[in-house]
Amino acid sequence: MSSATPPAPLTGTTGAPATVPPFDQVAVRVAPGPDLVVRLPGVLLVVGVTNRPTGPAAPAAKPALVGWGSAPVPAAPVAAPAGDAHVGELVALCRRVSAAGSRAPGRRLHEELRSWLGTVTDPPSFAVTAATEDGLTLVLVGGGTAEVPDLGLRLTPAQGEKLDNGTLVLDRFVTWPPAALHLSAGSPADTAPHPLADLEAGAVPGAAAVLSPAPAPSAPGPTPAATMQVRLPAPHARVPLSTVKPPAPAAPAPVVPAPAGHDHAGHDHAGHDHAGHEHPAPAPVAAQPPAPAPAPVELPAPKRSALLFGGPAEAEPAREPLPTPGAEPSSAPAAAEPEDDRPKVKGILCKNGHLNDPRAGFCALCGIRTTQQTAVLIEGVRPPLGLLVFDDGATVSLDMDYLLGREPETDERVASGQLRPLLVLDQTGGVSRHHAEIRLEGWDVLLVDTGSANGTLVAPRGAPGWSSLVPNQPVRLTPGMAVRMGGRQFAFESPHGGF
Amino acid sequence: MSESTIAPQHAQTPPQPGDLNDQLIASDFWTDQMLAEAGIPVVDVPFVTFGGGIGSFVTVDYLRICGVPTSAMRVLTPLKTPWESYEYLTTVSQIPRGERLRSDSSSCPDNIWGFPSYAIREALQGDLKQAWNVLVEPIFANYYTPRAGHAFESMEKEMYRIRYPEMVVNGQVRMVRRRVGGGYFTILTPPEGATPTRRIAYRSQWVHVAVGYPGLKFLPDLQRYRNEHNDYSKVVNAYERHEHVYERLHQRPGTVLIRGGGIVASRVLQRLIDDRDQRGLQTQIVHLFRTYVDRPHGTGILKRRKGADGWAYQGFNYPKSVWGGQLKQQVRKSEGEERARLYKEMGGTNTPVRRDWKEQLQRGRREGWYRVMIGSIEEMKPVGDLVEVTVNTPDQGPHTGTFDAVIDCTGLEADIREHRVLADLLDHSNAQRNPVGRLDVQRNFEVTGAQNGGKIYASGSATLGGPFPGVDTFFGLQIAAQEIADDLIAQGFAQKLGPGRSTSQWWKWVRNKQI
Repeated sequence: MSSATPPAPLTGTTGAPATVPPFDQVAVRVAPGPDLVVRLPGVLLVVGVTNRPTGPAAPAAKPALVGWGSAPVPAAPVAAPAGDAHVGELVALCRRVSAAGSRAPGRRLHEELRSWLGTVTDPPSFAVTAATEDGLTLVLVGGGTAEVPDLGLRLTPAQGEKLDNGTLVLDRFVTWPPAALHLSAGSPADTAPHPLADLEAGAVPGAAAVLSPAPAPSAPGPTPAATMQVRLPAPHARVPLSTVKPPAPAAPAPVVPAPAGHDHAGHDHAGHDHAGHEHPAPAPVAAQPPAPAPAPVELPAPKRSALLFGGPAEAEPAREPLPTPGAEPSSAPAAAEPEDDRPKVKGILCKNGHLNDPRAGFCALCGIRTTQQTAVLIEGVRPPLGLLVFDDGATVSLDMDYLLGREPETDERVASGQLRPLLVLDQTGGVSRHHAEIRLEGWDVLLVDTGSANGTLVAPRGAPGWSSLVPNQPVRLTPGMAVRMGGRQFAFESPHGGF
Repeated sequence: MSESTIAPQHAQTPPQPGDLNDQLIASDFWTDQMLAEAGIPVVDVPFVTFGGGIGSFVTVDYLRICGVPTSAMRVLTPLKTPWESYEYLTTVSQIPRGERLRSDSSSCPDNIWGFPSYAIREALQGDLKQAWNVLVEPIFANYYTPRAGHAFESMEKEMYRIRYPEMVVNGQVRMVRRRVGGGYFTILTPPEGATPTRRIAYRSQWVHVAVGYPGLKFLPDLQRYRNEHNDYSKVVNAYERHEHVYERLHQRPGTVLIRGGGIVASRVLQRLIDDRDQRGLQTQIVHLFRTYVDRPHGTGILKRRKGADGWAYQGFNYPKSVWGGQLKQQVRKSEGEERARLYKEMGGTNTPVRRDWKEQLQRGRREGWYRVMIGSIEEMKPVGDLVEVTVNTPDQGPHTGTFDAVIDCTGLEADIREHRVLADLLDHSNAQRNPVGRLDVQRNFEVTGAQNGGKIYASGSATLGGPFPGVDTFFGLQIAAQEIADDLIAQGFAQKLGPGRSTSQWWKWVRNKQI
């Protein structure tokens, strides 16, 4: 557990372009000191607040008040943070860029900083790093430095360029180093950060920030699981997470309702687009053997993955049943007891043995005339009775009963598997939570309005206008019939039955 | 898969009163005694027609006009109206009532005289353009064809005029067998519970078989796709209901693969492009031809058929002279191999020229949303919401593409053996196949070899390949009815339709007087 090194180079060094580096998942340790360390999603800033930019001599405030003796006031640290407007601007800028919600704010931060630096005459010393698609962006100003001690790398503004207003700026995109990255604004970091220290988000005083190289299972056991369990899944969770994650930016859902019940809002994440920053890969802090506490880490992980799976279904509800037509042969029997649980219906056989609607003139499967055959009713497994074509082009194959609505899954018959939920998302809000039911009876498809607030309208093909359904009174859907609920509309089409 | 789910019930058929027994099923000739023993009631009626589609209707119409009373004829059919099946097929293949048919209409199934024709009737109702059209076609105008709805409505009128409903008996015909002592037994299975016995036998001297197409035959790859993926929505045949395809294209743009180069393909294309034009859709169309016709073709200078852009153009499914010209004579006199060769020459997939529709395709080619491929479908499988189709092209190897829908417009007809009654005729009543493989009929449309002190007649598509080629058209059905009526008149069943009778009957038709 302690040296979960294998994953470390995986995401850390190569900066594989396919995925955004899990910037927000790695630990950031803060060394004690007078400056300000700010961590925001995707951004890590160390800014000097000890008035260094204005020159060390200047701050020696001259107490010129008559009658006052000079007190041994540690005036500088106290006054400076509040007073330095540039620090405030800088932090606000970082916050804005981070909140803009890009998955990797590095590039944008880089641009905004450059334009900001152009307007500021004497910017504070700072070092900021932010995630980019394939590495980090680094901006160093004044006394800001970036170091990778393990690899003997060091960057200072002196290696950068000089802006028009005389500010030395180092501003470049770098590969995320495979070892801890120290950022400081120039203050001497005499004390090493505590190995368990970790700043998830927020602004705290500190001399330097140490960005861990790559995701690691650095699960700090004793610390409240609230922080780590979310950001550092156990290694085994890596695979499902990374496969599930990319398509669905359903971020807040996976994070917030985590059953552990931690208060996430307190971490200043509210309002940010979490999706971009929640990265699947775990974060091994290779350098620091973390505290041994496997259990708390592993426990939440499956929960999280479960939630992630739930997420997409909510995000794209109308599409949810789409796979059914194709996947059905395998899924239907799997869901039910094999074979016999499938709904049966009495129909006629075509000459080639396919079950058909007794009213059909031609077999739906092979096209042969059914009228040549003696119409003996035979019970068999019911084929799909047609499909609903929604106004967004989604189709739903009708192989069982459906409950349509805004929150169909809250119905107990859905929970019991008696009805299949069919989520109808409607911007206008005209769709009730449980709006209507589609019932398959024999070879008929019935539509029942289950007492919805705004009602359901139907129009048979060619009808001049809409007619309203009487609640709880089934209506047989005929091919081509259009149904409207709220702002949504779908049509029923069927290969079966008459025309 | 579908077979397996229904197997169990097959084994035990509970013995019902008046059902067929093994002895009956195995015997080519039945005696009255055998039916009595089986408990099947026998109904006597001289003339029985079954199928009950337009073929039956036209024949009965002719005989009624020739003075045969309704009591002497029975129509055994599962259909509610004679045009039910036809209307279903035309509707799903994109010719709803308001559209014009694409098949020959030189005759009217509701009017044995053919006068006034549909076009004249339309002109009398104020649409003079149609009269002009028939005057100058096909040189200055495309062939006139009636609206589907017009044909059905006029048939309905005629149906009540000849008291057709009085003759209809609802049910399925199971088989026809010859009777010892002359005549035939036609076994009818009425709807369950409609009669005390399971079967009823109709004892008649003449039987008319008009079961029409044995059925469509969906191509094996389409059937396989449905069986394997249980998906009936994305790969469809043009002869089945597939409105959802158009509906979906309306909701979101898509690419459709059309397969086939016949009338139905042209009709489906027209629907797609009409939708595209009227609703402003962005439908992309890929058209797959198996054989690409790029120039006029034919066996001789006088037997040329126009062709271009993959299509073989012809006014109707056969050259016009099939209905009344040299070809009709030529085929009538031919037999065996010779006839098969003639059929092959004049047959083949073709499409009537329609200016509006050709303009549409030209526009599609120009603007790039109508593209043509040559080849055959190798494999189809669903990929997400689409269908992935692998096409084997003769010159460029396999191609793969994904489509929102595949519309199969190949109209394959099943073998006549696929129809149980026709198969029974072949097996037990000495019926033969003609050179084209269908039911062999004589010039008077009696089924060859089935004479038994009476005759079995057949008309319609099942008899294609006989001495008269255009049997599966309105006119073909009417020609058959005429031949059958003449033959029956000769046998004394009906009265001769001489000038006097014809004129008086025509006036009755004009006045819509019930007979």
